[in-house]
Amino acid sequence: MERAVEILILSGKGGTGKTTLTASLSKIIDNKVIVDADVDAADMYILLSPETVKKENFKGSAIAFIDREKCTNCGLCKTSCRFDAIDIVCGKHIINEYKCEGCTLCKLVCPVSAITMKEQIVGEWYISNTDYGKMVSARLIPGAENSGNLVTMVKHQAQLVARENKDRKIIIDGPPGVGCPVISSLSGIDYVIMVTEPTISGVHDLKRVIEVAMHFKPKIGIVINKFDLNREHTEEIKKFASEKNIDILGLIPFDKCIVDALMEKKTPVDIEDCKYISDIIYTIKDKLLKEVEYEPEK
Amino acid sequence: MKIFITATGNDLNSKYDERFGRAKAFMVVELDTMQIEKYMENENLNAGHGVGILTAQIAIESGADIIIANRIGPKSMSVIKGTGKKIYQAEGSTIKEVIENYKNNKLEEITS
Amino acid sequence: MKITIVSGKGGTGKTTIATNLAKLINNAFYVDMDVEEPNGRLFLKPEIVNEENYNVMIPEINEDKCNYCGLCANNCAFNALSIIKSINNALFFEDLCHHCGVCSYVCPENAIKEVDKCIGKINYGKFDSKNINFIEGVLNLNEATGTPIINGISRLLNEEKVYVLDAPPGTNCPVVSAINSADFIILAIEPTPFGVHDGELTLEIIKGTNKPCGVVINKYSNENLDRFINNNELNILGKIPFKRGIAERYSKGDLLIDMNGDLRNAFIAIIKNINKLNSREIRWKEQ
Repeated sequence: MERAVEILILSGKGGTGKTTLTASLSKIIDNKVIVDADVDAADMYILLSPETVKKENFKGSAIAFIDREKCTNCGLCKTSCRFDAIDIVCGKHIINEYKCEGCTLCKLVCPVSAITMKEQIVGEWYISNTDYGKMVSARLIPGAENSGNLVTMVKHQAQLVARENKDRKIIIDGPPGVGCPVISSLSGIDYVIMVTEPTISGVHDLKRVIEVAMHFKPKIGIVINKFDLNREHTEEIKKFASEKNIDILGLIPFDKCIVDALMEKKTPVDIEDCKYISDIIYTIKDKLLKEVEYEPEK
Repeated sequence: MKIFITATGNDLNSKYDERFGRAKAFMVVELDTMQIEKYMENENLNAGHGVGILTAQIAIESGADIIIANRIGPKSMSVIKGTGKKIYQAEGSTIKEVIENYKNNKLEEITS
Repeated sequence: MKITIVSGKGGTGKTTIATNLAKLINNAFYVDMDVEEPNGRLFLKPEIVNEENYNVMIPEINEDKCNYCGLCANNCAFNALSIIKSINNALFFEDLCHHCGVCSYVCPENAIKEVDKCIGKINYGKFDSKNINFIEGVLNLNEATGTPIINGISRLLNEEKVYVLDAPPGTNCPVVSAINSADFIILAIEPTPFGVHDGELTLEIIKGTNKPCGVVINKYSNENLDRFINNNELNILGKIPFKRGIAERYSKGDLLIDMNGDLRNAFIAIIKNINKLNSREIRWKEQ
């Protein structure tokens, strides 16, 4: 049974236009499942108006819990904890759930066995219907850890939905940065689109996220958004791409119509006034599909 | 000879599970008789990272000589390496089919 | 005093606001806590005077003492150890390790020693100043989490100085930690549906702390955001307009306060508004 081809959109830096491009591609590519893996700040729903059909709780790793009745306030847990995760509130030792990593050291050192580990519900994941296909997304409770695991869950669910629906592609709006959630999102990916902007921070962050991505050996393509803002940086990105054998999938100019569309919760491909930008996105889509549709089965 | 394989259900007509670490269940099958010796539901589904390592340990402790898997990560591989157990790339749909393919030498060994 | 700039969504102007404020405020420190993608230095262009490796502890198993009992692996909550007794093999997976010390603690043979592993750096520098006023955390690539470095930086900040902290994006653990230890919180938002949505999420967290806070609206050009503002009784510290010319100069790494008098005044207004909400008075540099 073939698994669906996975296309991930990343940016390193936030605000480069990743989610807008992902939503646009979701509207014009057939036979696919849409995934919002930016679990800390899931925004795709704003542009795609999904209707939830399934909702599940997501449990994070267990964190420590101190039983007040048994606790003698000896403080051994606090001095042993490497993460500064035990506070004293009103004279009593309590676990700081934002800082606790669930290592169990406090439970092991506690002389009166007052500490147990409890799994917390840290978020939810959803399967929804949109006008453009099925969507899998998730939301993490603010301050919760485990975004990497939730990203993995959401991708796995998408493969199941794809199999059921006979969809051959999965398009994933990825998380920002270069840490654990991004690393989780990259596992098993066939093609990564890096959306960048020709600014000093955009270029800096692009290089970092590409280096992390290359570990996983996917195919990579770059879209330079707002490219006409700084021709020098645009050329720098093109040069860097060619040195690394990375394709430039497209160059999108800075255009007010994109922001106007966004204000209406629409993408450029929805708006007549945005036809110029829309055409560029269609070209990106064509180039992308050429790269993934001849992908040999792994 | 015993085979360890990841499973989506508890009989040989169930499809094999394409995942390793987070497979639904594991099965040990005696090759000559095609009897299911063991069927274990995966208790580590909610584990965080590194769940493949746990599955690799289960595979080693299961008494199987051969492990058949679809996608197995480098960490899981490093746990199994050196134990003498061979790992083969699953091909087929149902567990029965995959094991038949193994019998007919159609499966490729995974060495790295 | 710690002024922490957060945003929820990335790209709304946290670093822009933080760097410009740090440059304008008298005797302020700039602290970059976005250790995955630290960008403050691109705009402040500090002279780096010191780089420190940031280390965490990882276990080293002495196989002469190890009897492969597997107690360490069984107690590791992160599956970072795998002991195969049948072939006397002890495996350690560095990238899963959370540096907690449990393995070493439980080993009955004293076979585990903890050693340093470098996961990144804390860099110190100065811009416009004789003394150090720039701190930046950088996470090495392919490391899973920068939280230890963020915690390490937090421990360096004593009460006396004015610190302008550039927090990481999102609403994850490090951000919540940063919010919890702030004295004043600035929420950077952009007037788009994404900006409003993510701003509301972050606001939930901030309100829970009851700390003084205000909002700076970046890339401001229309009234869309007013609905959000009116509903939440927010203090608007300032609005930074959206202009193509500003974006072009930003792309080169220029600071807004250096671009023209109006922008400089916009940031002075932000400082004045912070002062209204806060007991300690902050001064800005005269031109």
